[in-house]
Amino acid sequence: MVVPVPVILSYKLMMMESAKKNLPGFRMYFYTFTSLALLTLLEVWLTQIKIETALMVGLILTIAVLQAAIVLLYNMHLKFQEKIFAVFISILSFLILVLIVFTMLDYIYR
Amino acid sequence: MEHNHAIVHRDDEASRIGMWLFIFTELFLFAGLFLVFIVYRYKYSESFHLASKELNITIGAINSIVLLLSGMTIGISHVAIQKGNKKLTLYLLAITIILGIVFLVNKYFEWRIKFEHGLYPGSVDLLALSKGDIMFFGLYFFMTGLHALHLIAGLAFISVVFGAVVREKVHATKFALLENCGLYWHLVDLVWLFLFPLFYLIN
Amino acid sequence: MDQNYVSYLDYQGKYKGIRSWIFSTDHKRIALLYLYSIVSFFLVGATLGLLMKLELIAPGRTIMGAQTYNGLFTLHGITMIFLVVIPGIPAVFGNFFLPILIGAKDVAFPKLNLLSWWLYVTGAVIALSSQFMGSGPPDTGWTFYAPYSLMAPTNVIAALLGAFVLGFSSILTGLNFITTIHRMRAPGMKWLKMPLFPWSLYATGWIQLLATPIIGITLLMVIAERLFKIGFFNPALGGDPVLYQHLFWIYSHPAVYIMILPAMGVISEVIPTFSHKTIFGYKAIVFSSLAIAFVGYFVWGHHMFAAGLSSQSLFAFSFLTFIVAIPSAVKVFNWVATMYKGSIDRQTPFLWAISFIFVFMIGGLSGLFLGSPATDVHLHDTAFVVGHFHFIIFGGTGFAFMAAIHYWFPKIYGRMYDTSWANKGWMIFFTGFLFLYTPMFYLGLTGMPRRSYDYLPQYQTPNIISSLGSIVMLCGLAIIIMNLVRSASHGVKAESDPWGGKTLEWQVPSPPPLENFEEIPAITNGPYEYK
Repeated sequence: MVVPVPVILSYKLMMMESAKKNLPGFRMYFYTFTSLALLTLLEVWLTQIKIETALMVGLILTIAVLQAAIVLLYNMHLKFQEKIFAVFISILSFLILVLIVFTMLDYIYR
Repeated sequence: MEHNHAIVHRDDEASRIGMWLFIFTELFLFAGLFLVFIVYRYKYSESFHLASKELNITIGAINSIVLLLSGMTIGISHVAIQKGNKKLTLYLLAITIILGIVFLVNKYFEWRIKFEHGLYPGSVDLLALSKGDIMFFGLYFFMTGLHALHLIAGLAFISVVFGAVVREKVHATKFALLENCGLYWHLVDLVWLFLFPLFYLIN
Repeated sequence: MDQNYVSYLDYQGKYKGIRSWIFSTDHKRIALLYLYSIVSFFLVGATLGLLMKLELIAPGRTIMGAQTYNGLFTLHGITMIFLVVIPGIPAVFGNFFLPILIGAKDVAFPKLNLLSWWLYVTGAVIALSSQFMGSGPPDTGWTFYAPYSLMAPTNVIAALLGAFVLGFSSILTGLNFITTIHRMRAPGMKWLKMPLFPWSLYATGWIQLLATPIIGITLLMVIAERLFKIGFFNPALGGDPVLYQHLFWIYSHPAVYIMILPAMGVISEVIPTFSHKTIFGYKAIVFSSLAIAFVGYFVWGHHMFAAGLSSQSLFAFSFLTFIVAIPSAVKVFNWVATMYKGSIDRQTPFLWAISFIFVFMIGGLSGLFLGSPATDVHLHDTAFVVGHFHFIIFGGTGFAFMAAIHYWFPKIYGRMYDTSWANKGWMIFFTGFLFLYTPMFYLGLTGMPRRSYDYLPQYQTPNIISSLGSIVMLCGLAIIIMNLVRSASHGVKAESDPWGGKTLEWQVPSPPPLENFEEIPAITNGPYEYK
């Protein structure tokens, strides 16, 4: 199960890149859907196999972030627009991360 | 000049920027809740582990797929309108709305099962459980509830766009409204992409 | 002047009378709607403050008991913070002058702009309704700390809901301004040719946009706890009250930068004009504004040094608090350097600007004692803190607001005020202000707690000085307001450029026509180019 998934995903991403051109066409949305759906199934599968909790949490969150990136870049067209939007999103994500880290700095060390 | 006109000039780029800025506010709104979730997940890791087993992964996963599918249909409608295909656009928007309703129906059943088991905020049964359980379910109802409200708002938005396409106020060379609606809908999807694993899967 | 010139005040559109104002989408009229609302709420807040000062003129019960006093300081805080200082300068002067300063005919979303004002009024009504409904005025303080706010038997929900609606108004204004600045600058006005007031509004807009949702969700969580017993912050249900404080201050610290950045923007406009010299260090001021907005997100814990944070948190927040003071200091140096060897014209706006620098610096320096946990432990929740934030917010935003209204008054109303009375008002107000707030530093250092209607007898003398100061200050305020109100309709007619300013607003008639410019200007120079 583990091996075919990344292969399928890379193939899909390759297709999305070539389909983009100027305007995302019908196909791109189909590819993003299948990638996202497969990633969701992968997440669920990870909960069923016997691996350490911390590793599972890490992997699942990584997949969620990857899914978010696909939605932002392709479905929400960030990849096809002026760079400034992507810059904004990056700064915002960093900001949210800092809020979480600083708050946890209190809770972890109390 | 006998009109109290707003000095409006059509600027699609400005309306796109405006929509993105609004999306940023929504991201921060939910970020605050995710922060609360992370704090209490850390504080009550055992309880959260166990409590999340109460949630049905299958229904959750189905809802994820349903929402992802609706993201695809609204995305394709964005292509369809630019190709001037009014009928296809309307079909796709309608399917998106139907998928959104399916999501809500699933959510209704999920909530109803919880209520029947006495697992809802303020219930005697819930208050008898551990603090971690109370917190988990409080967060569950609040966050999925807020998400559902945003989803309903999204359905209203799509309906407005539907009407605008029918009346041809939105068409092949003027589709910023549909595009911005799509952005909002994808945001609803984005939030769920984090809600699902955090509540249903981390156990 | 164009023969077809009609000032925005006289313009006749679809609506007549009051409806031509409250349904107007003209940014200039909306600015005035905000001006009149904000000044009205300021007077309400000031009256509450005066009543508090009268109570504090002697120990024990003077004119009211504890419960009333608690309700008063709560409402004073809610009014001043959410209804006056946060909307304040952006809503009034940002709305009026942002489009003109960048050479645009209006903001990006004029109808949304009108909605912002309506949300402001709605939020205000909801918040103020908390005073009159069944369970009594809220007594939690404007900070609504858990767990008391979760169970207080007073009208907390109305106040929270009002604040929530007001937050929307703030978010939409920020959204509007950011988009306007991105899309509607006149041809040739590159980012680094834009004047400093629009720059400050840009930085502020981002804070309004991103920080406000956090308090929005926090207030909703408190409402949810009160209504549905979801225990986010209630220890009995597993919650942590300190988490409420984290979330509250994650917004409310950046909020103080919403208050001060536009104020600094105003000062950056006033000082070059009355020094007849270009601003010193334009780029430094631009980047310091952005730096303050950014770093300001990372210091919220300094409001919580006495709440029981981990020592790692104490260290991180204190360190960053000292860092964030640096860009503000950079601005002060630049303003002073601008005045150096300039040709100073001591007009009323300039007097407000230099007194701003004075009180802002006192407020800022007093903040250093609060930013270090070791000293903060002794000063937290004392009158020292009250002195600090009144110097920096009232002294800062308040004085800058006065500078702005006296600077731009001729442009807004097409008339001049009486300078002699304006200066007298300034002198009396400034004197009263210093007597009102300086004793608070001493009182705090010697241990007088804040938010209490009573105090130990040894604190009385400074309290008397402070209360007398408040009366003097309010006399000054009365003079200032009466002068401006009278001059709006009876002042001498003003020309386009009474001060010799170099930014775009001085090139349009006083008052401006509906669409500001007959033709959008093409920009070649930077702002503040004096020979």
